Amino acid sequence: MTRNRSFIHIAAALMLTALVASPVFAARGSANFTSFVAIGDSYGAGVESASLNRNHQPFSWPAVIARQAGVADFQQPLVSFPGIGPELQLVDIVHFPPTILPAGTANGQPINLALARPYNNLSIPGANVSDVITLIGKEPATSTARSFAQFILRGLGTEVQQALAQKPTFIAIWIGGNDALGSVLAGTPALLTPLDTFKTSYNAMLDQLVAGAPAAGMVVGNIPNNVLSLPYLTSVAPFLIDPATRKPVLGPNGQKIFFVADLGGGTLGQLDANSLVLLPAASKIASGFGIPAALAQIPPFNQLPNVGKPLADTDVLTSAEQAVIKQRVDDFNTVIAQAAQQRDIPVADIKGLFDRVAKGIFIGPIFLNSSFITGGVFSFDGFHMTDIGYTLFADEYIKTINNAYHTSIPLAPLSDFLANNLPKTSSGAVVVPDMSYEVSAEAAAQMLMFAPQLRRRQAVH
Amino acid sequence: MRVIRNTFRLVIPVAIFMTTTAAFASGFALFEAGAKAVAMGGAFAATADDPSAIFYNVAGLAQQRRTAVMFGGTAINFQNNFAGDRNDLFTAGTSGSKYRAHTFVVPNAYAVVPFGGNLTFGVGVFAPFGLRTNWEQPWVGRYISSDANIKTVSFEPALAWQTSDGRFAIGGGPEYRRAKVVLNRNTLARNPFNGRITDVANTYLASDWSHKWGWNVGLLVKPTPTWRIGLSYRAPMTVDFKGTATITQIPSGNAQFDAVVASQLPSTQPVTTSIAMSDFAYLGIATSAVGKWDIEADIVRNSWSRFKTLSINLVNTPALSPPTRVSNWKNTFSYRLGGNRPVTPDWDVRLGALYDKNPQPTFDISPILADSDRVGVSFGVGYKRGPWVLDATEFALHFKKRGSNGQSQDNFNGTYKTDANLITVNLGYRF
Repeated sequence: MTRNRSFIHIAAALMLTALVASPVFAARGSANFTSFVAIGDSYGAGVESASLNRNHQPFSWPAVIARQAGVADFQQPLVSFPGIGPELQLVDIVHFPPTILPAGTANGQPINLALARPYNNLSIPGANVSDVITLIGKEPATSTARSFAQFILRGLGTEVQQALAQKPTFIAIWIGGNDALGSVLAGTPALLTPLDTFKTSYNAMLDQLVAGAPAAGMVVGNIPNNVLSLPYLTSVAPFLIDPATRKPVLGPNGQKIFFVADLGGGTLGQLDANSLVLLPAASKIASGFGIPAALAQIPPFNQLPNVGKPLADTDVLTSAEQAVIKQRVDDFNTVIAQAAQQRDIPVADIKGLFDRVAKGIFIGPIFLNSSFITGGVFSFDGFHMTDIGYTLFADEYIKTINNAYHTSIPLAPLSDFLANNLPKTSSGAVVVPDMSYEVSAEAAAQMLMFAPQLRRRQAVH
Repeated sequence: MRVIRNTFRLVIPVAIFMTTTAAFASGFALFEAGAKAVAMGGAFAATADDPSAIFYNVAGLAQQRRTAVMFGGTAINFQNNFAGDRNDLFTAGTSGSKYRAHTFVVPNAYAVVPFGGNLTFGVGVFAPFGLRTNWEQPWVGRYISSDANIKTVSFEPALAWQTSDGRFAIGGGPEYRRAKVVLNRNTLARNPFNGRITDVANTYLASDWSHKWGWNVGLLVKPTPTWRIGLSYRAPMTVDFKGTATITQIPSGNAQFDAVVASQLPSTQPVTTSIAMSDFAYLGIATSAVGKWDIEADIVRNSWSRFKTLSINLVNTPALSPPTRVSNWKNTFSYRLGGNRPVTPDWDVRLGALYDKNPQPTFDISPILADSDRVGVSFGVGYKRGPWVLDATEFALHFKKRGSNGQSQDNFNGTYKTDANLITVNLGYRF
């Protein structure tokens, strides 16, 4: 009893201390969008269906925020259709499985390279935190980020430097996804950015921004840690499925037949129910990879050339690998939260958004979830968002800004996506998608740099 | 060999009743059954001195000692506006949506025939309930309702008797009510080819004219030469409807998408539903002791708590019927005040006011009906020339701004503002 009372007293004292000690959050600067800049990666750029193009760039999350906040001249590095690289498009849903193909073989072209000032949206597809403070656009195109930096940064300075050069009154930042995503797309935790590197870079980025624009309002966002929220990782089962019945193929004892894969370090073994097979591996499985050798003589598997050959380590994420990635992202989020708190910067809960989408959400008449093709949030590359997805992303930022800065920026509504209610620009003009097709032989090389891990024909034939 | 998880299978949600279906109603009672009564704010149960007494207080027929006929109607025009909730991810920023401009006419007709010194027979035709919410397109809420329409018409023979001194009267009669309901809406689905939310089907639910019997009684007491008390009651009823759900695909322009939609659309088929309609309970007190004014105050109660749920049942494919919509309306009261003053032997002037509480919980607010508390003021004149009687009324009704406050069961939040203007005209002839 005495112990219980002591405990109660201590708890009450702690609660009181917490109440007294908790500072009232006052966000730095103000929500003045006179000069609005955005720092980010492919999500910020508006990459969709493995392509950066002007059909979807108006729906990049920074562009949506700018539109809702009434920013008059929000400049982005627009690319003509079919984009860099050519946009993946759904071409067949009548047959199973659906077919997705790129819209042509040549890339689109940057169309406002001559802008005589830095872009408001400085997001660079493929950029990680370190890139934001190091790349200036003059580096050789040896990575996705470096390729895009060439025409987005144009040698005028880093993302941070060009943001500051515009004397920003408000800076929106979402960076860090690629510090984990590269690892997810490659099917191995080996590509995760080391925590110390991430922490150093993230703090350096914010230090530079705060020093360069001490009066500017700012907002950052955390990173999703739920790999199950990405259709890139959830669309292919780890076991055999009969395409005719769309049910698992069962073994002699009624058990599912799990694929064989390199589980890491050359260790071969069967996947389990918690293993994830990456979307591009579907085409390999279609030729027999991953199917156990014991089925090699049994029709129809005997017609597949690669039965008995394991899936590569980079084709799958085992439970252990998923746990490593999740833990690292959690650590990244701790860094982001601490870094933001130290500088009075509010944090948009993008992780929460992805968690809700993974469970499924109703918005108006539309049910959205993380299913491939039908989910509505993720595009045909399985990990970039759709116009609707980016709008939800932007709305998370707007909600955060409104809460932190006591503003009333209207949310961007999904009713804008009603087919006969096309979205409007801040000037009131209707945004009509540019469906012109432009071919450029020079752009073809860039296409390969964009997302080398992606197989262009994901349709699993 | 093709291997892919089941989730890869394309299932485009095109459920016709993606959200809850038709609440055709809410506080959809009508009180506009006679120009004089409307001019007095509907406070007429203790006056009931023209043939519209069949609606307001059937006992009032007994004091009408001349054969008379009266007919007319009320023309109703709405001005309304829907503004999306700035915190709603679907409707934020939406504004300017409104009903199509058109005039709704609520008719009435009566005949009164006295027998002997104490008995009066009457027959009336009137509309005790009605609703029309017909939205101008393109309307962002069309997936819930583009057009909701409920029509009723009642035919009531009535008999009233009064004591020889006229201080006590009682009346009643059976009511034969016919009703019809219509709901028109579009079904939306996300087109995976272009990522846009697309109209893929139209569903037009139209019932046949259905009918039901009810009853109505009234009491009128005149304790002194200058005071009157009226009581009347019109029974509630639940009308069962049969009709047809006509489902028409809307081509998207993409043949593959259209094929998938077509494979999931139910066919046009019979449909059934039931709608609970409230009772009317009037208590009115009137006096002619205030100068030349004849003044009446009424309280009217409607038992809208009967309207708890609404079910739409597709007969051929019951599994595709929508879930039962929970409405849980509340009983309501309205408070009415009116006055009539003769200014010449031929002319009367009338004034009225009312406050009418709404029965609809916030979660049930929708484009089908967004009811709210109402305040109204009315002004009317009456003109008598020989056997002819002409009554005309202007009635302005303001609905308090009503928002769904993020609670909409249709995932459709916003604020509705409504005003209505009603003009009622009746022409009578006394033999």
